[in-house]
Amino acid sequence: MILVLSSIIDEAAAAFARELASDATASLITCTDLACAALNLHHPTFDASTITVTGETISVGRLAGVVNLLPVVLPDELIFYDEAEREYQAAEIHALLTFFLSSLPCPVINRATATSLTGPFHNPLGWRQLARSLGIAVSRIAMRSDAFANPFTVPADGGSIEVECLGNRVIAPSGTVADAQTLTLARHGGVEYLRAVYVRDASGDVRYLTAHTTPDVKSPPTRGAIADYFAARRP
Amino acid sequence: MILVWGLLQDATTRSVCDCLARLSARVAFVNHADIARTKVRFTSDGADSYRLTCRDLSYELAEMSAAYLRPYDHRDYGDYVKPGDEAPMVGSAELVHHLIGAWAESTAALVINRPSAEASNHSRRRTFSPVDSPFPHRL
Repeated sequence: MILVLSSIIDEAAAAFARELASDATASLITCTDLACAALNLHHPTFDASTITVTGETISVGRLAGVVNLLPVVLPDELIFYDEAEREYQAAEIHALLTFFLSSLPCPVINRATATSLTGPFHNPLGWRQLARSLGIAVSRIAMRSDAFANPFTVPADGGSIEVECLGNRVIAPSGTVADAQTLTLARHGGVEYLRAVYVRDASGDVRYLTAHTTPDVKSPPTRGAIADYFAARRP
Repeated sequence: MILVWGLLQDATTRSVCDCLARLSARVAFVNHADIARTKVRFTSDGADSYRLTCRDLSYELAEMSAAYLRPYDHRDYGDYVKPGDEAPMVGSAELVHHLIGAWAESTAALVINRPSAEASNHSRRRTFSPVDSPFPHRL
């Protein structure tokens, strides 16, 4: 079974889970499901753990993969708790998911770390620093804590280059250096999926701007690539 | 210079400051409780630059040879004002944490501790919003 883990408000995720289920056993799972049905996690014998999916208790060994579309557990996800209780419960579910997603033996797109639910960095600055350390040319940015203007916003002039990779393969090659750079970033960042955004500087050179670790399941090529990824790993 | 970011009411931070004073070390102490009056400006013209300002003190973090970081949840402070429903998810205090954290991860200075090294201590962290959150506002 493939799980699609998402926010309760993510309609694209729900549609994608239905799409995946047409070809394989797949199900959407949200924090509501995690909080309201039994999830038994064991350590160190993680293989003995079970999860409840659509009312059925299954061994974690039956999971063929997870598509993790939940970068953060927000208190507002947990509408079934009293408002005063939500923040504490969100932190608990965050901790639970960190352990669950980092322990699963099956492929996870992307696996949680102690730093983030969807990869190795808590914010885009971490990816930018990794890019710099790998010798990838980065764009100039500025940030002020007292007057925030998101420096990672893609310019509206359409001059950006977006490259997605999954499982060490570029989904739709751009034909620029950004393709190889994205693969390098994903490999060194230890993620299966990465969507990196680049801009051109005044000289026309490609410069890294930002990266995203949550798959864009509104994009048909991305959805197809994820389906292919799991199909290729089916026993 | 050694950056100390924390609370002097915290016995551990106080003891670190006392030891550094006995050693006549140059210390830049930034009171975490002053988070509402703390600013960080990041620029990347050439080398990355993090300028930390708190009240009338201002430091270029590249000049720090070491740092002792002991941040707290700023929402526990008496002067914390809860943002309105339409406020951006990432407020000034969160950005100060993000930027000092980013500096701590990338600097060659001795940092006790880099945020990634102690991340598992915060597995039950309160859910500060990541800069990259897909949600522009609360759900």
